[in-house]
Amino acid sequence: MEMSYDEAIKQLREWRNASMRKSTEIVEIGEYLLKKSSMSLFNDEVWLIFEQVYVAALDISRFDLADFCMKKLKGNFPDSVRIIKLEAMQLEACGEYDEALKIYNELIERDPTNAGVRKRKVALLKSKGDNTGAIKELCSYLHDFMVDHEAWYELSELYIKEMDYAKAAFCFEELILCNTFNHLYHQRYAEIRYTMGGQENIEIARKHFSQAVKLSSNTNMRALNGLLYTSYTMTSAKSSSKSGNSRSHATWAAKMILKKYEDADVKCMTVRRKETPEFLASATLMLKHLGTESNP
Amino acid sequence: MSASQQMSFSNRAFVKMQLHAAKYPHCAVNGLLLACKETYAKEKAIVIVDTIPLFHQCIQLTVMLNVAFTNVDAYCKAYQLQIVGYYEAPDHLHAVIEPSLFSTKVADKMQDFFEDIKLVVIKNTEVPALSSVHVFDRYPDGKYKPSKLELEFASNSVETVEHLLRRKVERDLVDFDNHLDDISQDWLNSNINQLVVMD
Repeated sequence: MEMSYDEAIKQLREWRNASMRKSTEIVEIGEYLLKKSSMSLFNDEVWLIFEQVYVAALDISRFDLADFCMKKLKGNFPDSVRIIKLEAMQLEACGEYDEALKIYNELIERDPTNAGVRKRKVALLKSKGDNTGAIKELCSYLHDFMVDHEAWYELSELYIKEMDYAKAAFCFEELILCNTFNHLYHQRYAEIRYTMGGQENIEIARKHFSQAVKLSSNTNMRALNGLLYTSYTMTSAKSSSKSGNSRSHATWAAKMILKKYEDADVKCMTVRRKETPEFLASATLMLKHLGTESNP
Repeated sequence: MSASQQMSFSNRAFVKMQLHAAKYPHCAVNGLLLACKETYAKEKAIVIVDTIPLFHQCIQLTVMLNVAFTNVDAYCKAYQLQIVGYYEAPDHLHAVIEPSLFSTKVADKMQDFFEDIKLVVIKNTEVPALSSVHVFDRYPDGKYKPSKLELEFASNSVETVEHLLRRKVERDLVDFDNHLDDISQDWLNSNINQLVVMD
């Protein structure tokens, strides 16, 4: 392993805090760390690492490593509900959904305030391919835990999968209310509105794309492209002032996108960009249509 | 009902589709199929020479899909290719092998640009075998049914994918989502193209 002990701990912590599903990588680093290093080197963080590596091991069917982690966890936390939940996850990993569901339902009955187990039940229904059931369960969860951002986000993803865009938009409205300065929420909300279509939705989408651009200090490429496309669509609006404004927004967005590509410093991209402008296609094309020349 | 007589996948096209599905086993992924324009015009044969991996997040949203289409289309025009199909690997391991509602809507729109659009659904449990590729044709009633065309693949496609998976090359695959997160990343995957020998 090329990483030092400290780097490995730091990396696992980053992935844990961001809830990133990098199971193969977590197992690679975690297995080496947990098996080769002496337990005396660790502080209490080791139990979080055991849990993280356990879940990652289940994800890639490394049941041997999962058992190793579970033994250590159970040894230190013999009567823990959290451990029972982790054991039920192993049943899920083996496809024994009904047994796992029984355990989750028992834990929920014992303690309906256990958010982790209720969310695990939603994940189980999702694994079974029961999106409708997962949505129903998640809605019931959100009645009790209204401020859980992760849950609102997951619910919107489920609605998007079902192509129920109006409900997905509602979820993001809740998220934006709680966290107005998150440019990613504005951008995703705008994407949903754009997908719904129609003059009014395109206008709302444009507003949120432009807010996302502003909040991200012009770095959110999806928002820049979204602003370009929505403004460009609105250049054919009936009102001449709206159409004129849209023209200038679209031009600005296109030029900003071109500038971003100029600044991105990658050799193969630079060579290809000089030969053919296909990477800048949307921006270049739209600038042409808007009657403005782009800089070569 | 297919206007084309034959359909084949080059090594590069097959490999990139499989790597995309392998890179995101927990997500639905989608992408575009590119074919040689001249071969179709002359022989009515669809030779899929390349695939462009597109998204692995919220694939049912259309804005970035439009952006991707414009960029891929410009690339195609520059290199005498055309977009002839759309592939999707469902997120659920045991999903029913049929085109999703969203993919049929995308294919209906693509029909305006190419008369014989192909929809490919990847069977997750068969990756990386050749049998993971299921092609659907559009029938006059607007429904998509399994294609009756016999698919041809390069002889060493599966071997190549397995070799690349052992070397964990799928981690280096760049889809359009990765490109939008960091525009210095190349959605054409020239580095992976070089690793794969074109048939």
